[in-house]
Amino acid sequence: MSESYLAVSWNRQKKIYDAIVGGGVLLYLALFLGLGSVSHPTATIETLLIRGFGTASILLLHIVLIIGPLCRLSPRFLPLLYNRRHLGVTTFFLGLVHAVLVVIQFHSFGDLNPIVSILANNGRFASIPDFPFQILGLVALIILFLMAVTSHDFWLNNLSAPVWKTLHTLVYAAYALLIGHVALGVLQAETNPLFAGSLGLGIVLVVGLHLWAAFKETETDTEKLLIETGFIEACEVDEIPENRACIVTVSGERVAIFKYDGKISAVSNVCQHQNGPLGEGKIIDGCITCPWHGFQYAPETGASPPPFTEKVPTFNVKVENGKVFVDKTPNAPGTHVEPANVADWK
Amino acid sequence: MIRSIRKRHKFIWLVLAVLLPILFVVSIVFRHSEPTNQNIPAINKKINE
Repeated sequence: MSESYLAVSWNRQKKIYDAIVGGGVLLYLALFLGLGSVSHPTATIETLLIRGFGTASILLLHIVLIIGPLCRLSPRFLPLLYNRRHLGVTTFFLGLVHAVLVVIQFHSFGDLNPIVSILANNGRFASIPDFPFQILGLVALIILFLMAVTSHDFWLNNLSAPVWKTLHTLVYAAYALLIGHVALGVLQAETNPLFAGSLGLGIVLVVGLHLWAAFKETETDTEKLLIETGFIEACEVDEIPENRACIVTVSGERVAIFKYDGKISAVSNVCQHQNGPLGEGKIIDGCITCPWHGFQYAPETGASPPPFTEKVPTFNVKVENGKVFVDKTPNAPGTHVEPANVADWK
Repeated sequence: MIRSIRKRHKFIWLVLAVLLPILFVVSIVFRHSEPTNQNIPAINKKINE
């Protein structure tokens, strides 16, 4: 949670996460260079490095892209989401090293400026096998750069979560560009089915998981029926596990209804940090805790405990005959709402 | 707010689900055939003779 833009401190989990990422990348590069030099003894070290960093970058981008839908499908994957931004920044740096090596190898010894050389040395846009695929990689790298430099919570706070998330949606464009970069580039020369098969599998995995998660989300977005006096029948009290929530859609937005200590409170499902799903979190130390990065809110007020200042909207709730009813109109963020007492109907 | 972002994500991935497989298949189908040295069979034939 944040004051002075320090949303998540440099804690033990982050250090372990980054150590695994760094170790994994180094191990991958060592294996790629070792096995590559054996299977392709005529390949130069420059070529092996270019391909090693390039494949590491796109492999990591696939991992980055599947973490989101995996977390929507199962909370078991949430630890991967915790520090996903570092994976994204690592993806950019691996791609950058790949690009620098390509520029040195293929564009540094001519008369043209290396960047101009990338943009101008091949104009066969109408040809599939001779398409200027390096331009696709360059544009994707620029997008990854923009995302890497705006990945800090400073930018999240200044741009607001919706704008920041929209900006970072550009990663999908970068992904499509990189698929084109690989398919129209290295796959035109490398005819081993293993390479094409790996890329095809990656596309199926990323696209399939995103669509699966998206259709599952659509089910949750089904509106509940409006009952009298502006209240909506949300769920049964018994449906909500202790210290957990059920999520319902009210007036087009999701509401998280928490049960704790014999009480029921409802708040917006949207965390103020990165719009994480509060209803998939749990009550820890009396506070609703976002499953993504641990931001906390008091269930009665929707306000973060001092000195933090984040607030989410609250909703009036009542319990009748074992059913939870939620007011369709949200209260202003941070507004205190008396929790409904579960014992009242028992 | 979030619902509109989710709808946008879903639309983007529906579009990519169509475009990416097409791009992938087209790039494989239309790639150059592997270059072969036409002289090599002749040389081999000579050696065998």
